Amino acid sequence: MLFNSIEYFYFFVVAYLFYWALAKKQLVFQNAFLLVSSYVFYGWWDYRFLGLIFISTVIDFFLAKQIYTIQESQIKKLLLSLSLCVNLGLLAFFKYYNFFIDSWVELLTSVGYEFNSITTLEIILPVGISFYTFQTLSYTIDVYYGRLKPSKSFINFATFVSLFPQLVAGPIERARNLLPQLEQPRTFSKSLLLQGLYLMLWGLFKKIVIADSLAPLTDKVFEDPSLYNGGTLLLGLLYFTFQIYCDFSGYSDIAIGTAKCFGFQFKTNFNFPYFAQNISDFWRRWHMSLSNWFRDYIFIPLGGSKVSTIKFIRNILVVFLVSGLWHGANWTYVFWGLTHALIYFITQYIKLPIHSSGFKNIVTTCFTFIAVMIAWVFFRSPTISFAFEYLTDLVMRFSIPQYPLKGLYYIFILLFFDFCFRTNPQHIFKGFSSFQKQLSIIVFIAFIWVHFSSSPKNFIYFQF
Amino acid sequence: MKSIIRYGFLVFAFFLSIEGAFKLKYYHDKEFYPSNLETPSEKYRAMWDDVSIKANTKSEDKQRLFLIGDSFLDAEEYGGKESYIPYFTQLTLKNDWELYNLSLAGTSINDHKKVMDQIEGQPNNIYVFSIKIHDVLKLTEVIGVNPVSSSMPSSKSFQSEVITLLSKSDLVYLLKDILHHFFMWWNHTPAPHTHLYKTLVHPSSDKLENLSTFLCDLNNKSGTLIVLVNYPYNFKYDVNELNNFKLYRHLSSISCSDLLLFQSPLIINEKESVDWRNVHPNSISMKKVFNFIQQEIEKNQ
Repeated sequence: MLFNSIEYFYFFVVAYLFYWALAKKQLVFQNAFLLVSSYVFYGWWDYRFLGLIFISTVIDFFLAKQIYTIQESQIKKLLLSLSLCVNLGLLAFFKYYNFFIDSWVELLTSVGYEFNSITTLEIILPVGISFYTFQTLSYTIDVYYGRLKPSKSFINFATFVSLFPQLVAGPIERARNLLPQLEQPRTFSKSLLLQGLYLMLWGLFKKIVIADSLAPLTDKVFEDPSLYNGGTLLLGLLYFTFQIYCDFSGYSDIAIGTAKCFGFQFKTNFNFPYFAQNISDFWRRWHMSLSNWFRDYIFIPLGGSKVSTIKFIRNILVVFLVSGLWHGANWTYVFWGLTHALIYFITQYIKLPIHSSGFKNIVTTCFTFIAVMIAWVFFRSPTISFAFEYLTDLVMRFSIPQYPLKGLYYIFILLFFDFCFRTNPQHIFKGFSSFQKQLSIIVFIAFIWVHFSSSPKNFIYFQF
Repeated sequence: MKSIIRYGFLVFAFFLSIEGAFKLKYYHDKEFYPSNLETPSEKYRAMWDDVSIKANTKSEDKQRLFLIGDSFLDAEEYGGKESYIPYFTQLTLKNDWELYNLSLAGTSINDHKKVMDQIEGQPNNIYVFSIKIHDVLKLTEVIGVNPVSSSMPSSKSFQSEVITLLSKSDLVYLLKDILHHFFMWWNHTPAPHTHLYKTLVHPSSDKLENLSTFLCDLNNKSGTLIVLVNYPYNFKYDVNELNNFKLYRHLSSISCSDLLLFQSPLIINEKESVDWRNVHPNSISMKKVFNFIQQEIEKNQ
């Protein structure tokens, strides 16, 4: 079920009413209702893959309990490995099997071997598998390291894994943040509800009005870049830069807003990323739940930054490579990750300052924005060579863009509101007078109504 | 007083936002969409030029199916992915017929007539001719009567200038759509004083006569002609009250020999359109209409 569909609207209203009607009953009823609702939400897309979530949930629930109770470190390690194998195994099979086979065959063919019998499989990628796999993994790892006590209630844990606002495209919530909230009764709060609804409205505006309007322009330019001059390619790239931001941050806002309506507080996932002053600042603002995951479960265990220079470079490369691969089973994503690593090393080398003020601030922000924008070419292109050709054409055939201006209007609207007025990523009308708030709501509703489509477009991050 | 001004301003801002949003949504950079540089009529003429020689070559052993119409036949460019073309392609492939797709969004009955005039009739030709009812009054242009000079005063009145101005507003279109829905629910007619209302309920007798002449002329062409008259697909019609529409009565009573003319409410009587504002058929109604036409073709083979 898509957040930008009419089905979700009905689902939300019904779930909301039942949920708060159950608030006076025992907590278990409320959580059980959330669990069933979440499975309905996911099953709406494809009920066959509910089994995968269930397997992942059952295995991690019981393994975490065992890890916590057993004292022998060897067995603990074995159980953790089992959890990692099952979760990553499922992810590897459904997401990367064909990619690995193709790459392997390509590699061996290039050195002279011939294959006749190896075939790829027609595997459907289960929506959200990368998200809930990382979520359950973090739980088991946290229990293993003693940072968290395992959940006593299977229903609570299953609800944590499958909670519908964040199930298919994040934010990747940590058990440390979400499980305690599930174990306490939620109390209705009008201000939280309003905050949630405002955030959902803003998320829908970003997705339906901006991202979905920029998408056809981007698609057209990336369909055949050879038709356009460099200026137009630059515009196409600029449009994609804002399309992906509005698409994904829009999803996160709706997810966080929905969670607020149900009495939960999710962590912020986007914090004005295109205002970042260097690449590490960008990753502290973009898809924060994923960057924090990589920081806590890969970068720091590898030694973090308190190691020799060589090891530090290795750690950075590993994190960005894994980040790229997490996004998709294609070398373009890997290259996108590497590009970010490269930008990181360059900014470290030239010691790009952060939190500087005035003109310097503008320069560093622009530099980071352009670097991030260039990296998006690899993310959006079907192949690496396509991306290089795109960038070469952009530079070599640069002239004033022939067209199209339409997307610039949408970007202007976003910048006008997001960067001129909004100050808090989760509390969007903070500091607004009641008139400004009403006016903004009215404008959002009008734009969403006009741009709403009865056949909603998927979110880009669903494919990850 | 203060709150009246405040809420008045908010209402004004709401309507202004709707207008702005529509303007932005339907803003097309002509250069970015090169197809916009040519008018649909020009494109349609080019479409016909591409196939005209082949279409007019005499062939006695091969059936030919001509699809002639506008976005109601091929709505891919018009707010949806719906199109009859895949259905008819399947049909022609199955029967080993030739398909001539002469349907294009944005074209009018005048364009279609010009092409129909140039198709040389042959006994093994099948023409599926789609007309939308909004077009019916425009047909006079082809017959030779200038609709502007006949229906409007020659000097532009203040009223006509206001209408021209309002017709540029998307908000006015939206309000008109809402009124249509309201009146269809209330008394089963579109909103009074609109083009749709005049076409359906009070079309002039001259224009209806022209339509009959046009359709009968078409029917005289050698081959099988199937005329599909499309009403807006976002209304549910009361079939028993369709006789209140003068256009419906007239179309039902056209008495050319063996004219196969079908009116969409009698095939589809559900609101099966792309959405509540878009009057084009969705894939469900297309499937139903296609099945219906297929049966008619088989009956007449």
